[in-house]
Amino acid sequence: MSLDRLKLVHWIAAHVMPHEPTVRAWLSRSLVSKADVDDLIQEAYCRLSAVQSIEAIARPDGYFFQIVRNLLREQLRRAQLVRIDASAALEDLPMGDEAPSPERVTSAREEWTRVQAAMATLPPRCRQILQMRKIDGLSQRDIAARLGVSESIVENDAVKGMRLIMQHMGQGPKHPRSQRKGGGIDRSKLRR
Amino acid sequence: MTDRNSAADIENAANRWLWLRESGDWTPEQAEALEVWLADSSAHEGAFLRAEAAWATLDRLAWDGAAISNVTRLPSRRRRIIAGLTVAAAAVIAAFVLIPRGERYVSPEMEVRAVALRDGSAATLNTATDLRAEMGDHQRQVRLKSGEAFFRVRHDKARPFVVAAGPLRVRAVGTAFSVAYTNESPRVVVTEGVVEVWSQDHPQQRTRLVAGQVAALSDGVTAVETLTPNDPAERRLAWRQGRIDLGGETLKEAVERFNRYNRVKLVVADTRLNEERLYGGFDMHDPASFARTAGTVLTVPVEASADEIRIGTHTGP
Repeated sequence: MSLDRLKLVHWIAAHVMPHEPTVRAWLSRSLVSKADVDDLIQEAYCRLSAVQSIEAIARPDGYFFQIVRNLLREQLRRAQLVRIDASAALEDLPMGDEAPSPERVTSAREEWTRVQAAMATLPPRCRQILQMRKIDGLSQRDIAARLGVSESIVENDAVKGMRLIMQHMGQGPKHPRSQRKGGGIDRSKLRR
Repeated sequence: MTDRNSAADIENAANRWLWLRESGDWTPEQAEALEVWLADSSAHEGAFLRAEAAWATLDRLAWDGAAISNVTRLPSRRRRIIAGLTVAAAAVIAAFVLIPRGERYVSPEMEVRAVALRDGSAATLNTATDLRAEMGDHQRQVRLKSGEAFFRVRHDKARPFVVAAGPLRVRAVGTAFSVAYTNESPRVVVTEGVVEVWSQDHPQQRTRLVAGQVAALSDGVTAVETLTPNDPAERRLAWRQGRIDLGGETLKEAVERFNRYNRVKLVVADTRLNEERLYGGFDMHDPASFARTAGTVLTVPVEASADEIRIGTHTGP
């Protein structure tokens, strides 16, 4: 991995990913189906992968919000039937100021707690495998030998563990303000 | 955003690719296949970047997990008096000089530099660092002549990565750690994986260090310290992000640290303040903001001139 890529990845881990729960909550309480939320998030990360200079981005959270908003706008524009609703929907979306302020960016300690909490939700073997890799630096082969299972089991459990961790971190803590305010939009119209 | 596969399927595939790459035996053929997969769709690219970021987040597990498993009880949470938060980017321009055997990398005073080593490993050089890297067929050797460097070592079982700093030797296969050689006793901080440490004079006496441990070599003896979540390895390596992270250092120490990175020098005018302990994270290139915060916390005046910032008022003769 190139150094620039490494920097980008760590920047995203520290400054973008922690805001994923906020973005997801906002998307899903506004107008988008679960599957569409996942698509939008993946697409947003793709846009992030094209970022040339992270130094130029003062507010990663706001930047992330902006990308998602633009993607959503593009998507709504394509779905012509809901054009009127859509513009209303965009008005309804929180702007940058609802994004967390820099002071609310998670501290390393909070992130650590978050990771620990996510790890605690894993089935024991998944957890053990990720720990053996991350903490002890063991290879898949060594892990398989130590656990007395096949390498494909290790691989499957590791991948499953990652999925659960990402799910847990993507949801984040239960949002107190998840109540959607008025101006209902028919979600079914937005499905393609 | 319409793909043949669902987002969940893509996410799974991305995670599998990532695990394959990170789990030990990654071949050039696999790397090529991954490139093809990534080029296939923007969703693939996005999902893979997200997987990489999640994987990077799990790094935290390494240093803290190891620290916790070595202490019986968590110390009570220290309160941070000063809450500072800054992210400054390290300069990414390498001073790179080709010498007959291996390459030499230097960072000038007051600058932090990131360099890519020829074997694919990455090094971040703290201020005034001088190192030489020689990537051989059987061993990758780095000699740290002075300063401090953080290494993210590319996994390569066949070629161990050995760093020499004075009499200290540190051996890794694929992991992340820093080595400092700024005074008489060289030391190492491990943030990921495992390294082996020994003294040149006693190559048989090797000590294994895991993430979250620090070792210093003095008179041929390796002293190992295990860090706690309140004093994580990351704090000691905050310079990589252009930060100075204080966890109870004295004002005197803090000022010395800032002065390593700035032309505008901090001066403690009232020497009685020297032993005051401070907490918080600061932009290493913003001594003024640190001085203001320190002035507020210690309730002393701060005065800035063109080339120095004085904390406190001079008292006594």
